[in-house]
Amino acid sequence: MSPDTFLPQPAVIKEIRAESSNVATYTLAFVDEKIQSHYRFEPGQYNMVGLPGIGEAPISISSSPDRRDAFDHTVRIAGRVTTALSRLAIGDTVGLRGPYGHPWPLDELRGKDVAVIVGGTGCACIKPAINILTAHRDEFRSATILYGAKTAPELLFADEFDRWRDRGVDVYATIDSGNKLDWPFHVGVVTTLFDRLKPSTDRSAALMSGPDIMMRFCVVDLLKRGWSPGSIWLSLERRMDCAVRMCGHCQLGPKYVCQDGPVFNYEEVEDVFGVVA
Amino acid sequence: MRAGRHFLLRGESLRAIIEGIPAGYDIIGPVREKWAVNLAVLDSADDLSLNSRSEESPGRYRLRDENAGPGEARPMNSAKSFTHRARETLYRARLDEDRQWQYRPAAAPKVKQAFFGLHACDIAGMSVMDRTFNKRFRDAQYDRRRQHTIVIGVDCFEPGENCFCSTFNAGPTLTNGFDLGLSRFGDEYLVEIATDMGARIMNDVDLKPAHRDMLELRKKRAASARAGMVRAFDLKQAVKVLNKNYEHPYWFEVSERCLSCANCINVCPTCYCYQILDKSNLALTETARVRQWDACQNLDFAAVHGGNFRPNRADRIRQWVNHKLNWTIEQYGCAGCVGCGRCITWCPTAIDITEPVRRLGGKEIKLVA
Repeated sequence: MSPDTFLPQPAVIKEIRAESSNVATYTLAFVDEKIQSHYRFEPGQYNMVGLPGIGEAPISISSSPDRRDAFDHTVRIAGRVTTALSRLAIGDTVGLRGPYGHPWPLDELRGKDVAVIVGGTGCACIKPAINILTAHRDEFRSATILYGAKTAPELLFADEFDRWRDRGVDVYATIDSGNKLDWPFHVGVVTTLFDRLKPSTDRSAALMSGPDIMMRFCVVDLLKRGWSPGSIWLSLERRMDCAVRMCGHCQLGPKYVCQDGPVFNYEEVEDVFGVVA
Repeated sequence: MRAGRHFLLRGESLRAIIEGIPAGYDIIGPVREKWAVNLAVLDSADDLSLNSRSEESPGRYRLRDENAGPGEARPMNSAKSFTHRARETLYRARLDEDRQWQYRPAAAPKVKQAFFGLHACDIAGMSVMDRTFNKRFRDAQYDRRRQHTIVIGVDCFEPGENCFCSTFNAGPTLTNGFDLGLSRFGDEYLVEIATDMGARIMNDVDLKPAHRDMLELRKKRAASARAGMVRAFDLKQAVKVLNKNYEHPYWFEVSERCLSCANCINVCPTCYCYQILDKSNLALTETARVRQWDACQNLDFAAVHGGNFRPNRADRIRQWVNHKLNWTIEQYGCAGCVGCGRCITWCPTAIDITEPVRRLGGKEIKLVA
């Protein structure tokens, strides 16, 4: 860490892809080529993305860590920073610092039946892990993705589902409500897909990302189905101002989500995550 | 503690200590304002509050005029006001001719600070805060201030009604973290020179060797001060009680009285939370990214777009009490409280951080007194 913990580095927007009406993926690279060539992150980590005069927000990295010349942030227009970001164009710069946080435990998952359970925009932070699952599929016993969203357009990266399937990953998608003409597939919250999961064994592992309320229901359901608390990992979202365990905002019990997370093993947060099972 | 490093100083020589502080240091000591004593920068030794004593009870603070030593009126603020400034610039950004933002670090604070008359609890508070700011990530601004800090502490033999520093071994008498330590015995002071800086300050001061009896007397007075702290409790038990009662209705009951005013946090020597905001010029071409104190009692502290993780006052009080007495132990290896009692004193509705420990613990908690 440089002595200037808070000083951002300018990064330029190389490409913008619309993912839905209010979600876009920004491909970025540090203006300083040396910084870009040394930049490494692990799936599940995030950057603090800032615009002077507007502020900073923690945004997860959504591209594969194997790509070295640039990286992606998939952003939903939600608050001050993301709204300002949505007004930028290719060639504009943002101020970045990172990567920060505890990543998905991919090394621990090798040889296991991996279930990826995703809600809505939560797919952004789990996408680099999906990239690893698809690129190195033979290192995992099985891989299943259950993806739920409110409406069909809110299922991010839907154009990649077929490619993931071709690599041997089972992908099931569901939406909370819709009519059969627009969406001839499964309808219901993501837990209604849980029968598609392989029965739990000591080689099961679940990665989860989405709103807290969705993850609480998912945890309850998995525990009922015999999954052990230690086999579940989840990525949490909290207010973060500093990202370096100092400002206090992201605390969840004794944990700092910014550094102890955003990815936690469920056992670490069991007492304070608010699951009533 | 080596007896050879203890000396005796006549009370009227106190100002010689202040005059012995090297040039270039801001000297910060207890200063009497109209209705309270505050730590403030001294213009001269004459500013020191030497004629008041404070009396506290939950939600109450009064000064009594009395010939007293420095620190016998407990100040409202703590050293935090000077080591972790209420507002500080982290860096600046400027839009250049090509409409690109140029970032540059904020100028390092040049300040050198000497604290005069700190109690052991406030010195312990500084060391708790050091663990937050200088542990895994270095905070350049904070670090710089702490590198140039002199601490002249004073023993506390008459703790207030709200004090419970013995719970954390944070007092009442000085143990570490100071350059010079003072103990008042009537018109005389026992002086402990703890560091080279301490020796340098005392270089030109007339000192007599201290008699062994005084060290014994100091121990006795410390023990009786300890025994007088009615709010003290067993920390290990308290952690158990808090963990067991996370969902207890007590939190809702006490929250009915909470005003979310955050007085408790502003006066706390260890509360470090801050928010980061941007201050721009009107043309929006220059921005300073600043941090300023924030408080977990504020409604928006845990708010994100579309939701708030702690929307109720009960959530926020529980967060604060647990963070101070329980969770900081896992985070930084020590409690986030030093038992100075300020939050109890300055709470407008007299909420007492030690109350949940007593109430929820029932008979399990053994009070020291």
